[in-house]
Amino acid sequence: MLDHLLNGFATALQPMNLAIAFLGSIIGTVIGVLPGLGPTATIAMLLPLVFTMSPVAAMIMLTSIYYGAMYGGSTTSILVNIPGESASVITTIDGHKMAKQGRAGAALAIAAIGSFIAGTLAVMVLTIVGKPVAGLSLKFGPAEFFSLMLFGLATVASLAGRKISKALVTTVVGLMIATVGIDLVSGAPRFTFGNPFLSDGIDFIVVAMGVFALAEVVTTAREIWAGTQPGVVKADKVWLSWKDFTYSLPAILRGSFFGFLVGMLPGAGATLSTFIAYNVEKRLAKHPERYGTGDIRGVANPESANNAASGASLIPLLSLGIPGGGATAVMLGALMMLDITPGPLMFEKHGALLWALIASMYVGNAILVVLNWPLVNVFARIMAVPARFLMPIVLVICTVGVWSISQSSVDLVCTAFAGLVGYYMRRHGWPVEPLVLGLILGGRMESSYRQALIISKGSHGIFLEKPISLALLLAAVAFLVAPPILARLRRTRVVAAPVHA
Amino acid sequence: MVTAKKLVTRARLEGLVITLVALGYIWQVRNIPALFQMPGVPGPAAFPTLLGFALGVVGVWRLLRGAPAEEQAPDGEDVVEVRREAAAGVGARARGWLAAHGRFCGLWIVVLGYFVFMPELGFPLGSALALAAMGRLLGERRWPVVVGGAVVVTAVLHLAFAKGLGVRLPLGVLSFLGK
Repeated sequence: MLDHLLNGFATALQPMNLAIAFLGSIIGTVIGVLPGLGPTATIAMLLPLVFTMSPVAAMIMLTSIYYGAMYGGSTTSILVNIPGESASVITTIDGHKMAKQGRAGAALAIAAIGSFIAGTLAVMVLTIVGKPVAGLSLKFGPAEFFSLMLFGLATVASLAGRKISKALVTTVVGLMIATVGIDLVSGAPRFTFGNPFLSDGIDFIVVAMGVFALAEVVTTAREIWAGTQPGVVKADKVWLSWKDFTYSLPAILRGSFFGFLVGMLPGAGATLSTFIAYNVEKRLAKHPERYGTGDIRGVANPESANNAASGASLIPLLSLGIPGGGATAVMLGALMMLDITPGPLMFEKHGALLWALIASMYVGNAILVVLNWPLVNVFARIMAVPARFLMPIVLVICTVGVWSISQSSVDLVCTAFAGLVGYYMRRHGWPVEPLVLGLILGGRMESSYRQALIISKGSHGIFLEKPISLALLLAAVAFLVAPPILARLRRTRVVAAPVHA
Repeated sequence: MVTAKKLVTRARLEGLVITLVALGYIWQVRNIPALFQMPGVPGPAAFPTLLGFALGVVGVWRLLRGAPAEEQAPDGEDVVEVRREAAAGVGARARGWLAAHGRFCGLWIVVLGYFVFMPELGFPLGSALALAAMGRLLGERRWPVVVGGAVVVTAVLHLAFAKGLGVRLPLGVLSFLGK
């Protein structure tokens, strides 16, 4: 296995391929940093670039663009509180707070370094245990997947703390939005109101731009008018201190572990891994109250999980031909473009190409770190642009991002409506993240639910009969029920305790 | 005695809206055609029905109970604002409301108008107008900066997206320029 990997590196490190990876990373970062243009849109726009390239070069270019765009997506999360893609939604929680405190440079740097470390670990683990654990993912049937998604949603809802009932509402609303469009199993139109533009459903970007970008623009405007806007935020340090790094390292390692674990399940994807890893990290922390206030570990952990999951998702892709998330879906497309069908025999039939692909993912991560020495400085300066100039420009770029999906005015109207709702939610303490995750996972969750019921001939007992599914359901209930009970017990103890004057 | 003010709280109104949304959703579920549905196998309406009922239950619970005790705890920014508003006099509050909410409503009109009318107006004209209006609303007083900035930013973005990345941006009322 190691020989194959070394051969892969030999291919990926050829000067021409290295130059392609560098170019792809730069282009991906520059486009991905525009709010509303996530990795999928970036890849779609730049796909014509690779048509004339050799298979290996094309694959390296695509993976580099993808990683660059992912990093660009994290950058917008940190700087302007707008996630560029679903996997960086959770990064907004602490990342943007850090930027507001003048620590944008450190946040951007730990995102790049965390991603690099997680990518390194993922490639190492993939090389050692990739083939043996491929069979494990087969143990996950539809019932287990449904329970896994439910567990993911429960962890996110539980992040809301004392606002858990609000989080449950927004989760269900997110799942409801995901039901809009043509039902893929029966072909029946659902909630489309006869509008063909709604047949494909409502894209994540359409809702995210509303609830994040529009709400952010209006919130910032109110801060400007009220005189509470911090004004020009100067970055204290443009790079990371050693103390920050050592403080974040355990979070990076745990994020990598959970990212890999969730990422290797077919269809689970990087997004779910970031939410689960963040939640577990918060619960394990000595001072969980620091999360959500601009703690650097709140950036390091999900960014690492995201990257480890991208690496791990190669396992189901290569062994089963099922993409685990955006990164692997892109690679699946690239492989099919090259007339290669993923499956159990891929390592035997197209080993050289595959190892070159794995190596190029790693090289792409390394290039991003190198690239970010100068770029962190440039990006951090975005915070120095006065909000009265920055926010209108952000709004227009977001509009282009939404428009570029399907050139539909229905999408724009949906974004506007999501903006109104998102602003209300923000103003009155309704958590937005569960809504977004519900929307992202809704489709997969429903198909798993229906497949499981088809297998069990309509009996819901299937979710309790399968041990993994049952364990996940119990864990989901524990995540939802334990925090309020513990809080109540704590309150009771405080009241019962004698007061010493 | 329970006063109307105590009975009609924001949480209860939210509960009412959530319940109505759930009812509307369940009503719409009934319109989903059951195509190729095998007996005993969940069709396209099964999952949405589940969601509709789940939302309905939470909505009714919120409507009846109001905000749970956990949510009523001090909530940072909102509480500060409430205290600040309470500290101000009636006249000052009214003036403050007009000053803040006039611009607030104006901003929403600009933002929503841009999203709704941009395809018809076209990206260049719609964006330039929206940028200028927002710049002004957000406090930029220099007209040359407002207008010049809006035109330059629109031109740069149009060139970058339409020419550089091949995004098909609508020209709207300026579509004769594209011919």
